[in-house]
This record gives sequence, C-alpha cells and structure tokens, in this order.
Amino acid sequence: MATLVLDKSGLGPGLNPARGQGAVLNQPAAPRVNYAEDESSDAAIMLRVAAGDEAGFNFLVGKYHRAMISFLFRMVHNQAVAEELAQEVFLRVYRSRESYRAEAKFTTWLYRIATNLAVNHARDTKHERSAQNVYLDAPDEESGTTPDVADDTPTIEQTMLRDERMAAIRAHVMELPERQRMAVLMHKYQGMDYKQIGEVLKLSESATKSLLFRAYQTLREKLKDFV
Amino acid sequence: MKTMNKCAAMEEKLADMLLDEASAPAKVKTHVAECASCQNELKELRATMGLMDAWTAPEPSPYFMTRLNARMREEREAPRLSWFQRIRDRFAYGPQMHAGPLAATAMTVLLLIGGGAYLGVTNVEQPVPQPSVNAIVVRDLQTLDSNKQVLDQLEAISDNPDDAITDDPNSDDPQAQ
Repeated sequence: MATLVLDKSGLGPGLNPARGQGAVLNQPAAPRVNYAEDESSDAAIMLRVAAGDEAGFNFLVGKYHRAMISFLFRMVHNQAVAEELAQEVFLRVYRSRESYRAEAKFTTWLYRIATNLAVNHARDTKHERSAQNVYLDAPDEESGTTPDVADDTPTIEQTMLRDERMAAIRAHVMELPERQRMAVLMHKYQGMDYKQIGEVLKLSESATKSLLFRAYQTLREKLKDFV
Repeated sequence: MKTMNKCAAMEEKLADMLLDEASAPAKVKTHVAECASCQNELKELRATMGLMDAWTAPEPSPYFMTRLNARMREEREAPRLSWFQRIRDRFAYGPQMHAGPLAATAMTVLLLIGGGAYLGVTNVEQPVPQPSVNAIVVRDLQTLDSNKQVLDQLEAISDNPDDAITDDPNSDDPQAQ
C-alpha cells in the first residue's frame, strides 16, 4: 500500500505548543507559529511563490500532486475527475498565493482548499452519483492504474467483483458523514495527524479526535466481516 | 458492573491510544494494559485501520503535469484576482477559526445599512408615482361599463312593473282580480 506520508520538514519546531497539556476544548490560544522560519520549508517556498517565484510553485506541485490526486480520488471515486479537481486545487493555490500566511502549514492550507472543492463537487453531483456505479473506475490492483475514460474491459469488472473487500471499504467510508469521511481519508491515507486534520476542518483537537474515533468505530462495525 | 462503567468512561480515552498512543496519559495506558475488553476493542479498531490499506489509489496519469502546465500558462496570462476575491480567499482558507463567520456577519450588516441608506436616498428623490394615461382610460371605461350595467338592470325592472304587482297577493289592483 502506497500510503502517502506528507513531508514533515516544514512542520517547524513549534508545531503545537499546547501538546501534552491534556484535552483542549477549543483551538489553543497559542502564540502564532511561523512555519516559514525554515527557508526550505513549504511555507517559506509558498511565501516566495506569492512574491513571484514560479519555480517554487512548480516544486510544490511536483511534491504534492500525487497526494492531492489520491485524496481527491477517494473523495470522488473517479480518476479523471480527481485529476481535474487536483488541477483546480493548484490553480486556486496559485490564484490565492498572496492570501497564504505562514501561520498555517502549507499542507493545512492545501487540504483546506482541496476539501472545500471536493465537498462542493460532491454536493453539485449528488444526483448524478446516485445513478452511477461507483466501482467501475476503480484502479487495477496489480498495476495500480485506472483508465482515464470509462473502460468496459472484463478485467476491471472481474477484478472488482472479486475484490468485495475493497468495495466494502470504499462504500462504508463513503457512507460516513461528510466530516468524518474527510477526517478518515486524511488520517488513514494522507498520513496526517488529528491535530492537523483539526486545523484543516477548523475543529478543536478534542472534537477531531472524537470525530475520527467515531468514524473508526462505525467502520469497525461495518467491516467486521472482512477483518 | 463497576468495571463496565469504568470502561465506558475509558472509551473516550481509547481514542488517544488509537490516534496518538505516544502522548496518551499513563493512566489510560495502564488501564488498557489490564482491561481485556479495552484491549479487544483497541485491537479490533487497529485491525480495521489495517484492513483499510486494501483501498489503493491510482497513479497520476502521465498527462497530469502537461495539462496543469497548460492551464497555468493560461492563468499567468489572465488578469490577476480582484482585491475582493483575494480577501474572500483569505477568509475561506485562512487560519483564523472564527474570522469567516465574523466577516460574513460584518459584511451583511454593512450591506443592510449601506443598502438601506441607498434605498432611502433614492426613494426621496423619486417622484410620486403617477398612474399612466392608459391606466386612467381603462379605469374610466370600466366605470362607464359598470354604470351601464346598473342602468340596464334598473331599466329591466322598470319595464316589467306588472310582474311585481301580479306577484303581490295583497294587491288591491282591480285589474289583477
């Protein structure tokens, strides 16, 4: 499994001053963290992009496009749509480059843009999705590839029929309430910790922890036949 | 029963063990180490998380970067965002948790006050609405029409005076008898 672990180099030394102080009901009134202190951090690079450094933008796209596509793929079940949305995410990053502040990690900001886009897309296409088979465009497990356009070769369908387990995981994750779903996708597949997920979803640490725990409890019940 | 209650209370703490074991309180770790029920639950939750590895995502298509670069070229040639869009993005993706709703409320209040003042000013300047010439003609014609109907009805009544008299049983008109 190619679980994507985000680069931690940009976290900076003062990631969370409230850590270890027990449950925090709301966002801690911690001193502002400057993630751009390290010149090589993503935050510093993004600030340079805002100042006109195009190469910095290309670097960030190169670094995060896989993570974005896989995250959006799991949100929308379709690779072509996921790639389209990922492009939109990077376009928005570029358009909003001057609004980025190094008080948030670059990835927090990136995922905030991505979740906004994915949620809007899901709401816009709610009726369309209910009429389609969401499993057809799943990747081939062997090659890990998915055709860009609908492909009705028997191997894809056969693979999917065989792999009930994968279909069940996908279906039950998708059944989760919106925020639980996004939290699980970020936690399980994007390698993010609950603190950062809380920042992306604008939730307190304890609320995020509880959100994730409830989601995993639900999934444990639904997937108990496959464990 | 006591043990069950204790475990129920500890269930929240299992979240710490599952999501951030390193910083879970020592009390929680000790309890889980001793409690078979909690251990079992934690084991099942971890197994579920392990199972979820089976959901793989595809590699990006080889054309992704080409397409993105093409869009970026268009973007660089396009005009820059307006100040309003930049401020909107700042609130939408910015780190402040409560700034968004606050800004929205402030904007709404400003719009209400500003819009109200604007409407008030324009109302003063507007002339008193006058009905159009057509409307006056139509109204006059309707009045004439209804008057005519009333006159017709009166005429119809006065044309048949006998009916009214004939129907009256107390009439002392000799001709009716």
